[in-house]
Amino acid sequence: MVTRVVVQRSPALRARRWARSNLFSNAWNALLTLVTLALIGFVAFVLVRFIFIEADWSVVRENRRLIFLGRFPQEHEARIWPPIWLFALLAGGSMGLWGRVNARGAAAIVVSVVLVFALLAHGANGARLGVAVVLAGGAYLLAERGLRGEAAQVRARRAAIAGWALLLPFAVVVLVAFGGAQTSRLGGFLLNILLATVAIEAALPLGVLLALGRASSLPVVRVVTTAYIETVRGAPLIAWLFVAWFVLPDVLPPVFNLDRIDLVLRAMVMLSLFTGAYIAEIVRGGLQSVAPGQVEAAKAVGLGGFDITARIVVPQALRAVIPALVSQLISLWKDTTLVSILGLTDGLGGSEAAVSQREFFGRQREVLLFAAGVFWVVAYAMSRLSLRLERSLGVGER
Amino acid sequence: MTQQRAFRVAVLTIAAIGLVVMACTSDEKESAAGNTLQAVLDRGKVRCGVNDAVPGFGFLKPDGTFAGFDIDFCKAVAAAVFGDANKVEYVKLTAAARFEALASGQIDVLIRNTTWTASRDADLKADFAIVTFYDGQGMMVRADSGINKLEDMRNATVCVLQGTTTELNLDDRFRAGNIAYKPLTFETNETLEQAFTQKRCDGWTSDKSQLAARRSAFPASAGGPVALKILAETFSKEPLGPVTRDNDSDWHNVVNWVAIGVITADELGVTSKNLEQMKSNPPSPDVARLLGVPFKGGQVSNFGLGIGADFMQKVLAQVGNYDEVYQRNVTPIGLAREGTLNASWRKGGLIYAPPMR
Repeated sequence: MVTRVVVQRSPALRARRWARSNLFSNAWNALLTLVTLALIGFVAFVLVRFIFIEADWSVVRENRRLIFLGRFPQEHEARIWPPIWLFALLAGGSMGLWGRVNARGAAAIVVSVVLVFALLAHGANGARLGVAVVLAGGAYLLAERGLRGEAAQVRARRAAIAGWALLLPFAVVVLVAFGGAQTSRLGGFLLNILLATVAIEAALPLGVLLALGRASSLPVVRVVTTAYIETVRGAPLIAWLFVAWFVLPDVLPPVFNLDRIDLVLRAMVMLSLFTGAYIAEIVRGGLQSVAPGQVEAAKAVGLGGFDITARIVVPQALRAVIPALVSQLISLWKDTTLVSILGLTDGLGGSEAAVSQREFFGRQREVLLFAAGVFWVVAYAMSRLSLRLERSLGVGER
Repeated sequence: MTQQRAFRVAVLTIAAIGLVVMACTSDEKESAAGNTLQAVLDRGKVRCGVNDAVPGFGFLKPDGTFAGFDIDFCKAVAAAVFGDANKVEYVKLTAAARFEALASGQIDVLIRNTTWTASRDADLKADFAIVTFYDGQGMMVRADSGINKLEDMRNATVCVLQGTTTELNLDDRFRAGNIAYKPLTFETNETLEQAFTQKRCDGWTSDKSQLAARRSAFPASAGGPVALKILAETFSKEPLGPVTRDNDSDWHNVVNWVAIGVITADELGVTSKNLEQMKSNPPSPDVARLLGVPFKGGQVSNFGLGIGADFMQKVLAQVGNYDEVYQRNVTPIGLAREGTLNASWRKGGLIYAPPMR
C-alpha cells in the first residue's frame, strides 16, 4: 500500500519558495526581475493614472453613437438590435454547447457587460441591451442544462451552426433591405465588423481554391492562380482600395450594374480578394504538410479525386495552419480601418472625427485609447476562439 | 437534416441574399463629362465632397451628421435644386483624394476648405465658384511672450503641421523677412497643441480660422484663451469656396449663384426670419429678384439657371443668409465676423456679391 504524504505549508512560505526559484535564482535573474517589475509598475501607474484620473471620458460617452455607428441614419437605428440579439443568442448558446465557462471567464464576461452598460445603456438602449443579456444568459443555461440526451445535443449544435451561418446575411438584410439605410451610410465599428465578417467568409473559400489551384497539375490553372496571388500580394491594400474607388467604375462593364456597385460593397470585395491571396499561401503551406501517404491511402480505398481533396487533404491542411490563418484574419480585422480613405467613417475614423468637435479638442488620447481597446477586445476574442478550435481539433497533440 | 445539408442550405441562402442586396443597393455612377445638373436632378441628391475634421467648417456631430460652414453651402445647393436641404449625400474626402474624386465623378461639388489656386484651376480641371471664406495663415503666440509681430520671432521655434502648404508659406515668409527660425513639425493638430502647451515652441502657425478655434478652446488648466494671442499679420492668401468640374457650366452656374444668393441676401438684409414678410411685400426690386417674386405687380425675373425662380426662398428658409451661416458655424469657434476679411464689403470686408438680375 502506498501512502501519500501531503506536506502542508503556509501559502506565504509557498509563495516565497516560488519567487526564489523562479524570480531570484541568481544575481542576474534578480536584477532582471527588479528592472522588469519597475518597468511594469511604471507603465501600470501611468496607465491607471490616465484612465482613472487624468482622462475625461465624456468625449467617448457623448460620441458613442459616432464611434459605433458612424453616419448610420438615426431613423434606422433600431435596426441594429435584431442582429445583436441573434448574436447574443448564438454566442450564449454556443458557449453552453461547446464550451464551459470557468470562474475567470465568467468574471471577464460580467466585467465587460457592466462596462458596456455603463457606457451605452441610456434610455431605450439600456432595455435593448438588457434583452441581449437575457437572451445570451438564457441560451447558455438552456444549452448547458436543458438538453436531455445525445440527440438533442446534436440537433442544437446543428441549429447553432446554421444560425451562425445566417447571422451575417440576416444582419445585412435587416440593416439595409426594405427601405433601410444606404450602404454608404454604414459606419463606426458596425462597419468594421461587417467588413471583416464578409471578408473572412469570402476570403477563406477563395483562399482554399487559390491554394488548390496553385498546387494543381493543370498548367493553365496553376499559372492563372499564381499570377493572381503574386499580383494581389505585390501591391499594398491601400492601393487596391484606391483602384476599387477610382478605377473599377470606369473599367467594369455596365452589365448587372457592375460599374455602379456601391462603395461599401467594393471595399468588401477588395478586402476579400486581398485577404484571399494571403490565405492561399498559408493554405498552400498546409497542403504541403499533408503526408503523401494520406492521398495514396485514400486512392487505395477507392476515393475519387474530389473526395480526396475535400475530405482528406484540405481538412488536414487547414488544421495544420490554424494559427497562421487566424493571425491573417486578425490582421484583416484591423485593416478594415483603411476604408476611411474611401470616405467611409469607420470606428477609428469616427473616433478621430470626435475630437474636431470644439468641446472635445485635445481629447485624442481618450478616443484613441478607447478605439484601441475595442480593436483589442475583438482581436483577443478571435485569438481565444482559435485556441479553443485548435484544442478541440487536437492540433499539436496528434 | 444532416449537419452538412444544413450548412449547404445556409450557404445557398447567403448567396441568394447577397445577390438581392447587390441588385438593390447598386449606386449610380455619373460619367465625369457632361451635364452634372441633369444627373443630379435624375438622382435626386447632391453629392458633396466635404471634410470631417475642421472645427466650424466641416465636422461630424455626436449623432453622426455633418455640420459646419462648408456643410451649410452643400445644404444650400440641395435646397435650391430640390427644395430640401437634406437631399445631400456627403462624401468625406482626404486632402489627397479630393480632386481625383471630383474629376472621376464620385462627387458633384467639392466644398472642403479648398484654396483657389491657378494650378488647381487649370491643371486639376476644376472650376472655382465665388469665394465664401477668406482665410489666411497666421501666427499664434503666448500672450506673455513679448512677441507682437513676426519680426520679433528671431531664433524662435515654430510649431507647424508637416507636408502642408502652411509649412512652405512659413518658410517663404521668414526667409523673405530674413528671420532665422526653427520649425518643429507635427502630424496632427493634437500633438502640435500638446507641444505648444509644453512650451516646446514659441509660435504656432496655421490658418487663422483654425488658430482662432484652437485658441477659443484652449484649456483653462493651461491659462485659457487669454493666455494666447494671434498676431495681426496674415502671410498667405487662402480664398476658400465651392469647386466643380471643368466644362460643366450649367451645374457650375447653379452652385455659384446659390452661393452668391446667400451673400446677396445678407447684403439686402433678407434672413430666414423675415423671409415671409419680404416675400409678400418686397421692399425693393433687388429683393424681389432675389426671391423670385414680382415687385409691385411686375414680372417675376428668372435667371435661367434651370432651377425654379424661387430657389433662394428655399435656401433662405432652410439654411439662411451668409451672416446667419457665419454666426451659426464660425462665431462659436471664436472668430467674430466684424472687422475681418469676411465682413460684408459695405463694412470694409471682402464678401461681395455680383448683381443678381
